[in-house]
Amino acid sequence: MKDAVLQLNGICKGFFGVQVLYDISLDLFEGEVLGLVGENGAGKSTLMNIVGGVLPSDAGTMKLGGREYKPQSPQTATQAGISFIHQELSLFTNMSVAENIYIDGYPTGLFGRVDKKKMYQEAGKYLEKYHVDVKNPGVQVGELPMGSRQMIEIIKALVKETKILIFDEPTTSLSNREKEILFETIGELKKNGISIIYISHILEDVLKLSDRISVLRDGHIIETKKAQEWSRESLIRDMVGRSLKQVYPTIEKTTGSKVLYSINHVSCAGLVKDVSIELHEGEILGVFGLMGAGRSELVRAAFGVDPMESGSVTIGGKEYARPTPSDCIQEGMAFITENRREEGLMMPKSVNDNIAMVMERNLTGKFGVIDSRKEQELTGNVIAAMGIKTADPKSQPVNSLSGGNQQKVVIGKWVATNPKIFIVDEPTRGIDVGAKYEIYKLLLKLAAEGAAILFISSEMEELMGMCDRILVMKDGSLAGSIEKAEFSQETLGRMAL
Amino acid sequence: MKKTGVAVKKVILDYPIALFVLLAVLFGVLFVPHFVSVYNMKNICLQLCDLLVIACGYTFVELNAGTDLSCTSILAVGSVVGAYVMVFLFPEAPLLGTVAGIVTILFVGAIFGAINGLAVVRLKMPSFIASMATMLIGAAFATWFASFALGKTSIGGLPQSFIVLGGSGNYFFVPIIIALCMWGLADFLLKRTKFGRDVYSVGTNPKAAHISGIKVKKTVFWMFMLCALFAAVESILLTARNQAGMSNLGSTMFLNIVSAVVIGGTSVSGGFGGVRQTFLGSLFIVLINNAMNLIGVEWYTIMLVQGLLILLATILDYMVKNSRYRVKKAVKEE
Repeated sequence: MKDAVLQLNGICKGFFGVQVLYDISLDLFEGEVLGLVGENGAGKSTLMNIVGGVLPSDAGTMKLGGREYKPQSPQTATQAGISFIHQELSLFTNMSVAENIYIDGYPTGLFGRVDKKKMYQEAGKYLEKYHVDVKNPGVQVGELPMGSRQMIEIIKALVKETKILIFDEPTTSLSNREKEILFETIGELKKNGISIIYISHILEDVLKLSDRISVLRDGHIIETKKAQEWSRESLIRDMVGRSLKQVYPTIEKTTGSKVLYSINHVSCAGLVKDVSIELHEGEILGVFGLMGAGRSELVRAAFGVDPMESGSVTIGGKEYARPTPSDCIQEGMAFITENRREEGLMMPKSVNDNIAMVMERNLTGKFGVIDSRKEQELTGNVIAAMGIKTADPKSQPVNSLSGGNQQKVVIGKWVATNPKIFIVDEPTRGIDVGAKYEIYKLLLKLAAEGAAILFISSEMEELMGMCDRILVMKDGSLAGSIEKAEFSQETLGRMAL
Repeated sequence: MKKTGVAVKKVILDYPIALFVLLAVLFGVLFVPHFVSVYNMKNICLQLCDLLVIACGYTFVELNAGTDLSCTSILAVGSVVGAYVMVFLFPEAPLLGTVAGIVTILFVGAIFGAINGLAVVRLKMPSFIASMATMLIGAAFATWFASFALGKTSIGGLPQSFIVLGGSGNYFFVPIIIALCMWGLADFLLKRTKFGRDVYSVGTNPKAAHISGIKVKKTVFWMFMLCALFAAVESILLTARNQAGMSNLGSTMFLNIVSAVVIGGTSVSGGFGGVRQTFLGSLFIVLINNAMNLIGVEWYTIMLVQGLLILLATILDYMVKNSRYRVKKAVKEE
């Protein structure tokens, strides 16, 4: 057996009192591909961020090539020979291939002049060695296909004498042909003694490519075995196999037969492919999917936040081929975005200002004058009904509230207009358990009063606890629909992967 | 007693410039000869009118973190074209000419506003670039129109009914009333109407505003339109004051406008402030200019003081904002 180039020993990490990684120990050997799989939120990214020097660990040690390794920053990690190939490529599309490859260390001559000739030569050598389909190193990266860009990203790492390469979902934007080329390259890298950590949701690829595979679940390494000893089924079982531990409120409600909202054959450039959904009165319909499956893109297009390529939505019997948020709100819809800091709230503004945002359209009289007494009254009601804890709603900016309270403000600003159809995208992201429970209760109450809720989440557990039916998305299409009686993590996982 | 203390604190937090205005007045009263006189008070009021209306308009674009460099060109183009209409097209009918002149000047403003607004909303141009283009075109047009087409730098002989708007003689209250009405209108729009709320929402977070069903593009368009229309009204007041259409009208005013808005306390990054702040900012600029003129300091000293004050205002704005959050945090932690 070859020596371990990277050893992790008892790595622990928590954020704000929530433990994310428990006592992780892992070895990476020279010239091997280690597959790392796990659900969203299992801790993969956190673990890799610790290895890459982005985050410090709370406890535990790392050894690189037998020596103590304690990266202070991504730079020190790179210097030590660890490089990341990110999901979103970090290339400058307006610069040449050679410039990108040497972006953090141009070969220089006198007075810091960039030695262009040498840079082009060296870059050319690498491009040839790894058979990259680029005519010359002076070509702008923006003109190249995604596959070539990925190769340039890899070469950028190799130039710095990288010993360990970490791939995070490298194939999401590649065509099949490009994927084959990437895999060939990974094989070559292996031969040259470079070790690789390969993270992906596409289990077939992981099984094919890896020498060993580790499964991460809820911050624990469940098992690490040789790739031959794993199967797709056993991987999925280990990835999702856990018991429900959160408690969900129970509120009696019935699903009506009336369709309040439907999405008809909606497609969005490359991300969503011909999806149709019907949402009934009183129903909580879950949409599950892995990162990049197109769930957020679908609902954003359905609410008119982003454009849709084709298809339409029907709200309360009226069809809209090009809905705008204003249309949807007029028809009684609400959209609780997954990104509350950037899209949900005006962070430096007061609680009142934020809550009033949507309802104002209903409070205008002559010359667009707002009935401010009514507005005060309604915002007051919302704050009381939602249980928003604020010292002074008139002037306390929402960025000084806790995450859970902020989310209540987001929901509150919508509830104020009494909508009948809710689209909620990751409504409990980044908030604590207590606030989660309150938000679940609120959503159930709304459904019990006859509202229809489209519930998007990447947490299976949450969806199974809350929904009457769950739709599963995969690669932009609907992969299946599961009724409440048949909910199980295995079924959901199998459909999504 | 404690209550008044809190109220004073609130005023200072919301209108930090109020303190500076008081200091400027105090300085004027104590150290500047002839500062306290009926003549000078009247002067200060008229000078305030010259700045306030256009600064109120500019506040709209500032609330969206934008800029409108062309607002001073609107003064000049409005002035020469309006004067031309009154003097050359209606030489025999002064009253009709006055009405036609006013409508023309407002129309000039609307054209500028529409071009700026559409360039920003439709072509997604940064407002700095869009309004720089219209500023250059406007300034060039005004000069060409007056000097080459008509052969004069200023077009005199305006009808008496128009000149009254500038406050000549016993009518000095006319421009003051107009300016205050425009200021009141701007404040009403911002504080009381749906449009005003939308201005603040879009200026704070356009993405959130879009998702909340606010018509972001329409709102932004109207900010530029209002800025241009307010500039057109200012053009009317200034042309009437000068009793002539002038192709270089307001060419040195831009820095005073921005100073008034920024020193007043409207945030350069958008979303905070308003025309109440701009009123105080304009008053302050007028006071120090007036005081320093009376003392007889050179123009570069006035520039120096103004520059330092903008720096100070920005720093103060930053500090006040931070302390505001700190106060809130402290409240929350209790």
